[in-house]
Amino acid sequence: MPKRRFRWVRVAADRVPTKWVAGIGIGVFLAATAAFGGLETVEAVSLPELSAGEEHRNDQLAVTVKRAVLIDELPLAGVTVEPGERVLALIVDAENRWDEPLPTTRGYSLSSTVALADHPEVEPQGISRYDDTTANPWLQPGVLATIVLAWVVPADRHAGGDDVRVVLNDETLMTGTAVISGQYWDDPVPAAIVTLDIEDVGAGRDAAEPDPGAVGE
Amino acid sequence: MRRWAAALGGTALVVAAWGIALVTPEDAEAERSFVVPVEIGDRGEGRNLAVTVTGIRAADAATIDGWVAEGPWLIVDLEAAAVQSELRAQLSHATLSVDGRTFRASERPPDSLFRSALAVGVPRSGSIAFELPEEVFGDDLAVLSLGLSADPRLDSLIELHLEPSSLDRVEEAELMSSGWAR
Repeated sequence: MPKRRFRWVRVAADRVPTKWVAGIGIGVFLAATAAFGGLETVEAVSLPELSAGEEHRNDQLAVTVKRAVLIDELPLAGVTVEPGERVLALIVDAENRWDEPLPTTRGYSLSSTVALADHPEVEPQGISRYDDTTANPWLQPGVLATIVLAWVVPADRHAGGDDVRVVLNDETLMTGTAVISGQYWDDPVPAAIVTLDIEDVGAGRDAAEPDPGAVGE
Repeated sequence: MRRWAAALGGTALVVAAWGIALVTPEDAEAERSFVVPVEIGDRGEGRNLAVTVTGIRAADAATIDGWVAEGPWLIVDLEAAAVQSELRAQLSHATLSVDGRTFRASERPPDSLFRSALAVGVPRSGSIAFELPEEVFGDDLAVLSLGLSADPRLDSLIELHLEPSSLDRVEEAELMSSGWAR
Protein backbone atom coordinates (compact mmCIF):
# COMPACT_ATOMS: atom_id res chain seq x y z
CA MET A 1 0.00 0.00 0.00
CA PRO A 2 2.49 2.65 -1.05
CA LYS A 3 -0.04 5.48 -0.99
CA ARG A 4 -0.83 5.07 2.65
CA ARG A 5 2.75 4.46 3.60
CA PHE A 6 3.97 7.75 2.14
CA ARG A 7 1.05 9.92 3.15
CA TRP A 8 3.06 11.43 6.00
CA VAL A 9 5.49 12.93 3.46
CA ARG A 10 2.73 14.94 1.90
CA VAL A 11 1.37 15.99 5.29
CA ALA A 12 4.82 17.13 6.35
CA ALA A 13 5.40 18.97 3.05
CA ASP A 14 2.12 20.84 3.45
CA ARG A 15 3.22 22.13 6.81
CA VAL A 16 6.43 23.70 5.50
CA PRO A 17 5.88 27.48 5.53
CA THR A 18 6.74 28.14 1.86
CA LYS A 19 6.34 31.86 2.42
CA TRP A 20 9.58 31.82 4.39
CA VAL A 21 11.62 29.80 1.92
CA ALA A 22 12.97 32.83 0.06
CA GLY A 23 13.84 34.56 3.30
CA ILE A 24 15.60 31.53 4.69
CA GLY A 25 17.52 31.08 1.40
CA ILE A 26 18.75 34.68 1.46
CA GLY A 27 19.69 34.33 5.12
CA VAL A 28 21.75 31.21 4.42
CA PHE A 29 23.44 32.90 1.44
CA LEU A 30 24.37 35.97 3.46
CA ALA A 31 25.64 33.85 6.35
CA ALA A 32 27.81 31.79 3.96
CA THR A 33 29.15 34.95 2.33
CA ALA A 34 29.94 36.45 5.72
CA ALA A 35 31.71 33.25 6.73
CA PHE A 36 34.07 33.66 3.74
CA GLY A 37 34.84 37.27 4.56
CA GLY A 38 31.83 39.13 3.19
CA LEU A 39 31.53 40.87 -0.17
CA GLU A 40 34.94 42.60 0.10
CA THR A 41 37.27 42.22 -2.85
CA VAL A 42 39.77 39.47 -2.19
CA GLU A 43 43.18 40.92 -1.51
CA ALA A 44 45.63 39.91 -4.23
CA VAL A 45 48.18 37.41 -2.94
CA SER A 46 51.52 39.15 -3.11
CA LEU A 47 54.11 37.00 -4.84
CA PRO A 48 57.66 36.60 -3.56
CA GLU A 49 59.93 39.15 -5.21
CA LEU A 50 63.28 37.80 -6.42
CA SER A 51 66.23 39.49 -8.05
CA ALA A 52 68.69 38.26 -10.66
CA GLY A 53 70.45 35.07 -9.58
CA GLU A 54 67.87 34.03 -6.99
CA GLU A 55 66.35 30.60 -7.41
CA HIS A 56 62.68 29.66 -7.52
CA ARG A 57 62.01 26.01 -6.78
CA ASN A 58 58.91 23.84 -7.11
CA ASP A 59 58.27 20.12 -7.62
CA GLN A 60 58.78 20.42 -11.37
CA LEU A 61 61.70 22.80 -11.82
CA ALA A 62 64.33 24.88 -10.10
CA VAL A 63 64.69 28.09 -12.11
CA THR A 64 67.22 30.90 -11.66
CA VAL A 65 66.90 33.87 -13.97
CA LYS A 66 70.44 35.21 -14.30
CA ARG A 67 70.43 37.96 -16.90
CA ALA A 68 68.14 39.85 -19.23
CA VAL A 69 69.73 40.92 -22.49
CA LEU A 70 68.46 43.12 -25.29
CA ILE A 71 70.10 42.26 -28.59
CA ASP A 72 69.54 43.12 -32.26
CA GLU A 73 69.12 39.55 -33.40
CA LEU A 74 69.69 36.03 -32.12
CA PRO A 75 69.05 33.61 -34.99
CA LEU A 76 70.56 30.52 -33.39
CA ALA A 77 68.26 30.91 -30.41
CA GLY A 78 65.47 30.25 -32.89
CA VAL A 79 64.05 33.74 -33.38
CA THR A 80 63.95 35.93 -36.47
CA VAL A 81 63.36 39.65 -36.32
CA GLU A 82 61.71 42.05 -38.75
CA PRO A 83 62.88 45.65 -39.13
CA GLY A 84 61.84 47.64 -36.03
CA GLU A 85 62.12 44.64 -33.77
CA ARG A 86 64.77 43.40 -31.38
CA VAL A 87 65.20 40.36 -29.17
CA LEU A 88 64.76 40.28 -25.40
CA ALA A 89 66.56 37.22 -24.07
CA LEU A 90 66.60 35.78 -20.58
CA ILE A 91 69.50 33.59 -19.53
CA VAL A 92 68.18 31.03 -17.11
CA ASP A 93 69.60 28.13 -15.12
CA ALA A 94 67.05 25.32 -15.04
CA GLU A 95 67.05 21.98 -13.32
CA ASN A 96 64.37 19.35 -13.76
CA ARG A 97 63.29 18.22 -10.28
CA TRP A 98 60.75 15.64 -11.54
CA ASP A 99 61.62 12.01 -12.29
CA GLU A 100 60.94 12.10 -16.04
CA PRO A 101 62.63 14.20 -18.75
CA LEU A 102 60.79 17.45 -19.55
CA PRO A 103 60.48 18.90 -23.05
CA THR A 104 60.78 22.67 -23.50
CA THR A 105 58.60 22.88 -26.59
CA ARG A 106 55.56 25.18 -26.66
CA GLY A 107 53.31 24.59 -23.69
CA TYR A 108 55.81 22.54 -21.71
CA SER A 109 58.06 23.26 -18.72
CA LEU A 110 60.08 26.47 -19.31
CA SER A 111 57.78 27.58 -22.14
CA SER A 112 54.78 27.79 -19.86
CA THR A 113 56.51 28.61 -16.58
CA VAL A 114 58.65 31.64 -17.50
CA ALA A 115 56.85 34.70 -18.85
CA LEU A 116 57.32 38.44 -19.12
CA ALA A 117 55.08 40.10 -16.52
CA ASP A 118 53.81 42.71 -18.98
CA HIS A 119 52.77 40.11 -21.57
CA PRO A 120 52.30 36.91 -19.61
CA GLU A 121 50.34 35.22 -22.39
CA VAL A 122 53.26 35.31 -24.85
CA GLU A 123 55.40 32.19 -24.58
CA PRO A 124 59.12 32.45 -25.46
CA GLN A 125 59.52 32.33 -29.22
CA GLY A 126 62.89 30.63 -29.08
CA ILE A 127 64.34 28.31 -26.47
CA SER A 128 67.85 26.93 -26.79
CA ARG A 129 70.83 25.88 -24.74
CA TYR A 130 73.37 28.57 -23.96
CA ASP A 131 76.38 26.28 -24.50
CA ASP A 132 75.71 24.47 -27.78
CA THR A 133 72.52 26.17 -29.07
CA THR A 134 70.50 22.93 -29.13
CA ALA A 135 66.97 24.13 -29.89
CA ASN A 136 64.15 23.13 -27.54
CA PRO A 137 66.41 20.96 -25.42
CA TRP A 138 65.00 18.29 -23.12
CA LEU A 139 65.67 18.81 -19.43
CA GLN A 140 66.94 15.59 -17.89
CA PRO A 141 66.11 14.90 -14.23
CA GLY A 142 68.69 16.37 -11.86
CA VAL A 143 70.84 17.86 -14.64
CA LEU A 144 71.42 21.62 -14.55
CA ALA A 145 71.26 23.41 -17.90
CA THR A 146 71.71 27.03 -18.90
CA ILE A 147 68.95 28.00 -21.30
CA VAL A 148 68.31 31.10 -23.40
CA LEU A 149 64.65 32.13 -23.66
CA ALA A 150 64.05 34.70 -26.41
CA TRP A 151 61.14 36.97 -27.23
CA VAL A 152 60.87 39.25 -30.26
CA VAL A 153 59.89 42.71 -29.00
CA PRO A 154 59.29 46.10 -30.66
CA ALA A 155 62.65 47.90 -30.70
CA ASP A 156 61.30 50.81 -28.65
CA ARG A 157 59.61 48.84 -25.88
CA HIS A 158 62.71 48.32 -23.73
CA ALA A 159 66.01 50.13 -23.34
CA GLY A 160 69.25 49.19 -21.61
CA GLY A 161 69.07 49.87 -17.86
CA ASP A 162 65.26 49.44 -17.72
CA ASP A 163 63.78 46.93 -15.34
CA VAL A 164 62.07 43.89 -16.72
CA ARG A 165 59.72 41.87 -14.56
CA VAL A 166 59.55 38.13 -15.13
CA VAL A 167 56.80 35.87 -13.80
CA LEU A 168 57.68 32.34 -12.74
CA ASN A 169 54.72 29.96 -12.66
CA ASP A 170 54.15 26.78 -10.70
CA GLU A 171 52.37 23.97 -12.50
CA THR A 172 50.39 20.97 -11.26
CA LEU A 173 51.15 17.37 -12.15
CA MET A 174 48.23 15.92 -14.12
CA THR A 175 47.49 12.31 -14.91
CA GLY A 176 45.99 11.74 -18.33
CA THR A 177 42.58 10.13 -18.61
CA ALA A 178 40.58 8.76 -21.57
CA VAL A 179 42.66 9.35 -24.69
CA ILE A 180 45.61 10.98 -22.88
CA SER A 181 48.11 8.61 -21.34
CA GLY A 182 50.80 9.27 -18.79
CA GLN A 183 51.52 12.30 -16.63
CA TYR A 184 52.27 15.91 -17.53
CA TRP A 185 52.50 19.35 -15.91
CA ASP A 186 49.85 21.92 -16.67
CA ASP A 187 47.76 24.73 -15.22
CA PRO A 188 50.47 27.40 -14.68
CA VAL A 189 49.84 29.72 -11.71
CA PRO A 190 52.12 32.72 -10.95
CA ALA A 191 54.39 31.91 -8.00
CA ALA A 192 57.22 34.45 -8.05
CA ILE A 193 58.34 37.67 -9.71
CA VAL A 194 61.93 38.32 -10.72
CA THR A 195 63.05 41.87 -11.43
CA LEU A 196 66.19 42.33 -13.52
CA ASP A 197 68.10 45.15 -15.20
CA ILE A 198 68.17 44.86 -18.94
CA GLU A 199 71.64 44.91 -20.52
CA ASP A 200 71.65 46.31 -24.04
CA VAL A 201 74.38 44.52 -25.94
CA GLY A 202 73.65 46.12 -29.32
CA ALA A 203 74.47 43.77 -32.13
CA GLY A 204 75.96 41.35 -29.61
CA ARG A 205 79.24 40.53 -31.25
CA ASP A 206 80.90 43.84 -30.42
CA ALA A 207 79.92 43.75 -26.78
CA ALA A 208 82.83 43.74 -24.38
CA GLU A 209 80.89 41.74 -21.79
CA PRO A 210 80.81 37.92 -21.81
CA ASP A 211 79.14 37.62 -25.12
CA PRO A 212 75.52 36.51 -25.43
CA GLY A 213 76.21 36.69 -29.16
CA ALA A 214 78.31 33.57 -28.54
CA VAL A 215 74.98 31.80 -28.39
CA GLY A 216 74.54 32.65 -32.02
CA GLU A 217 77.98 31.73 -33.19
CA MET B 1 14.31 -22.70 -3.14
CA ARG B 2 15.33 -23.02 0.44
CA ARG B 3 16.49 -19.96 2.26
CA TRP B 4 19.95 -21.34 3.04
CA ALA B 5 20.47 -22.25 -0.60
CA ALA B 6 19.79 -18.69 -1.71
CA ALA B 7 22.14 -17.28 0.93
CA LEU B 8 24.87 -19.73 -0.04
CA GLY B 9 24.43 -18.97 -3.74
CA GLY B 10 24.57 -15.24 -3.06
CA THR B 11 27.74 -15.57 -1.01
CA ALA B 12 29.34 -17.72 -3.71
CA LEU B 13 28.54 -15.07 -6.34
CA VAL B 14 30.05 -12.29 -4.21
CA VAL B 15 33.21 -14.34 -3.67
CA ALA B 16 33.42 -15.11 -7.39
CA ALA B 17 33.02 -11.40 -8.28
CA TRP B 18 35.78 -10.50 -5.81
CA GLY B 19 38.05 -13.15 -7.34
CA ILE B 20 37.43 -11.84 -10.84
CA ALA B 21 38.16 -8.27 -9.71
CA LEU B 22 41.45 -9.53 -8.27
CA VAL B 23 42.64 -11.33 -11.39
CA THR B 24 41.50 -8.68 -13.91
CA PRO B 25 44.66 -7.09 -15.41
CA GLU B 26 44.93 -3.32 -15.12
CA ASP B 27 44.77 -1.09 -18.17
CA ALA B 28 48.53 -0.55 -18.03
CA GLU B 29 49.00 -4.30 -18.06
CA ALA B 30 46.94 -4.65 -21.21
CA GLU B 31 49.20 -2.24 -23.10
CA ARG B 32 52.53 -3.33 -21.65
CA SER B 33 55.59 -3.50 -23.89
CA PHE B 34 57.05 -6.82 -24.99
CA VAL B 35 60.45 -6.86 -23.32
CA VAL B 36 63.42 -8.63 -24.90
CA PRO B 37 66.19 -8.89 -22.28
CA VAL B 38 69.76 -8.79 -23.61
CA GLU B 39 73.33 -8.79 -22.28
CA ILE B 40 76.26 -6.80 -23.66
CA GLY B 41 77.35 -8.45 -26.90
CA ASP B 42 74.10 -10.40 -27.40
CA ARG B 43 71.78 -9.69 -30.26
CA GLY B 44 68.19 -9.11 -29.15
CA GLU B 45 65.39 -9.17 -31.67
CA GLY B 46 61.91 -7.66 -31.24
CA ARG B 47 59.04 -7.03 -33.63
CA ASN B 48 60.94 -4.77 -36.02
CA LEU B 49 64.14 -4.01 -34.15
CA ALA B 50 67.31 -6.02 -33.65
CA VAL B 51 69.96 -4.54 -31.36
CA THR B 52 73.39 -5.59 -30.17
CA VAL B 53 74.84 -3.43 -27.40
CA THR B 54 78.58 -3.58 -28.00
CA GLY B 55 79.84 -1.41 -25.18
CA ILE B 56 79.00 0.97 -22.36
CA ARG B 57 81.32 3.79 -21.32
CA ALA B 58 81.28 6.56 -18.74
CA ALA B 59 83.00 9.91 -19.27
CA ASP B 60 83.19 13.42 -17.80
CA ALA B 61 82.87 14.92 -21.26
CA ALA B 62 81.51 13.63 -24.55
CA THR B 63 82.69 14.68 -27.97
CA ILE B 64 81.97 14.06 -31.64
CA ASP B 65 82.54 16.07 -34.82
CA GLY B 66 83.94 19.07 -32.95
CA TRP B 67 81.10 19.17 -30.43
CA VAL B 68 82.26 18.85 -26.81
CA ALA B 69 80.03 18.87 -23.76
CA GLU B 70 80.65 18.41 -20.07
CA GLY B 71 78.46 15.74 -18.53
CA PRO B 72 78.91 13.32 -16.91
CA TRP B 73 77.83 11.10 -19.76
CA LEU B 74 76.98 7.45 -20.16
CA ILE B 75 77.68 6.37 -23.72
CA VAL B 76 76.14 3.24 -25.23
CA ASP B 77 77.75 1.79 -28.35
CA LEU B 78 75.43 -0.40 -30.35
CA GLU B 79 74.44 -1.96 -33.64
CA ALA B 80 70.83 -1.71 -34.66
CA ALA B 81 68.78 -2.87 -37.62
CA ALA B 82 65.13 -3.13 -38.63
CA VAL B 83 63.73 -6.63 -39.06
CA GLN B 84 60.67 -6.46 -41.31
CA SER B 85 60.12 -2.95 -42.62
CA GLU B 86 61.91 0.36 -42.92
CA LEU B 87 58.65 2.25 -42.50
CA ARG B 88 58.94 4.28 -39.27
CA ALA B 89 62.00 2.23 -38.35
CA GLN B 90 63.86 4.77 -36.22
CA LEU B 91 65.47 4.31 -32.87
CA SER B 92 63.05 6.82 -31.31
CA HIS B 93 62.86 5.36 -27.83
CA ALA B 94 66.07 5.25 -25.80
CA THR B 95 65.75 5.65 -22.05
CA LEU B 96 67.80 4.83 -19.00
CA SER B 97 65.88 4.17 -15.79
CA VAL B 98 67.79 4.51 -12.54
CA ASP B 99 66.30 4.49 -9.06
CA GLY B 100 62.83 5.63 -10.11
CA ARG B 101 64.04 8.32 -12.49
CA THR B 102 63.96 8.07 -16.27
CA PHE B 103 66.50 9.74 -18.51
CA ARG B 104 66.15 10.16 -22.24
CA ALA B 105 69.01 9.79 -24.70
CA SER B 106 70.46 13.21 -25.41
CA GLU B 107 69.50 15.06 -28.57
CA ARG B 108 72.62 17.22 -28.17
CA PRO B 109 75.36 15.23 -29.96
CA PRO B 110 75.34 16.21 -33.65
CA ASP B 111 75.80 12.56 -34.66
CA SER B 112 74.10 9.78 -32.73
CA LEU B 113 72.00 6.70 -33.45
CA PHE B 114 69.19 8.17 -31.34
CA ARG B 115 66.23 8.88 -33.64
CA SER B 116 68.22 7.78 -36.67
CA ALA B 117 66.69 5.66 -39.43
CA LEU B 118 67.39 1.92 -39.53
CA ALA B 119 67.66 -0.43 -42.49
CA VAL B 120 66.25 -3.93 -42.79
CA GLY B 121 68.83 -6.62 -42.17
CA VAL B 122 71.93 -4.41 -42.43
CA PRO B 123 72.89 -3.07 -38.99
CA ARG B 124 73.91 0.53 -38.40
CA SER B 125 76.54 1.08 -35.76
CA GLY B 126 77.06 4.13 -33.59
CA SER B 127 76.43 5.51 -30.13
CA ILE B 128 73.74 7.09 -28.04
CA ALA B 129 74.61 9.27 -25.07
CA PHE B 130 72.85 9.95 -21.79
CA GLU B 131 73.55 13.16 -19.86
CA LEU B 132 73.17 12.21 -16.20
CA PRO B 133 73.51 13.71 -12.74
CA GLU B 134 76.60 12.66 -10.83
CA GLU B 135 74.77 10.43 -8.30
CA VAL B 136 73.61 8.01 -10.99
CA PHE B 137 77.19 6.75 -11.34
CA GLY B 138 77.01 5.48 -7.76
CA ASP B 139 73.95 3.31 -8.45
CA ASP B 140 74.13 -0.43 -8.85
CA LEU B 141 71.32 -0.91 -11.33
CA ALA B 142 70.23 0.95 -14.43
CA VAL B 143 67.88 -0.33 -17.11
CA LEU B 144 68.52 0.70 -20.70
CA SER B 145 65.50 0.30 -22.94
CA LEU B 146 65.46 0.74 -26.69
CA GLY B 147 62.47 0.78 -29.01
CA LEU B 148 61.15 2.14 -32.27
CA SER B 149 58.35 4.35 -31.07
CA ALA B 150 58.62 7.23 -28.61
CA ASP B 151 55.48 5.69 -27.12
CA PRO B 152 56.71 2.22 -26.14
CA ARG B 153 53.34 0.67 -25.35
CA LEU B 154 52.44 -2.58 -27.11
CA ASP B 155 55.71 -2.78 -29.02
CA SER B 156 58.97 -4.61 -28.44
CA LEU B 157 61.55 -3.07 -26.15
CA ILE B 158 65.11 -4.31 -26.02
CA GLU B 159 66.22 -4.08 -22.38
CA LEU B 160 69.66 -4.29 -20.86
CA HIS B 161 70.50 -4.21 -17.15
CA LEU B 162 73.79 -2.54 -16.29
CA GLU B 163 75.73 -1.43 -13.24
CA PRO B 164 76.74 2.26 -13.49
CA SER B 165 78.90 2.08 -10.35
CA SER B 166 81.19 -0.51 -11.96
CA LEU B 167 82.01 1.62 -15.02
CA ASP B 168 85.48 3.16 -15.35
CA ARG B 169 85.10 6.91 -15.83
CA VAL B 170 87.37 8.48 -18.41
CA GLU B 171 87.91 12.23 -18.83
CA GLU B 172 86.65 12.48 -22.35
CA ALA B 173 85.05 9.94 -24.65
CA GLU B 174 84.20 10.22 -28.31
CA LEU B 175 80.90 8.88 -29.60
CA MET B 176 81.20 6.41 -32.48
CA SER B 177 80.32 7.94 -35.83
CA SER B 178 77.13 6.43 -37.19
CA GLY B 179 77.78 4.12 -40.09
CA TRP B 180 77.23 0.64 -41.45
CA ALA B 181 78.28 -1.99 -38.95
CA ARG B 182 80.14 -4.11 -41.53
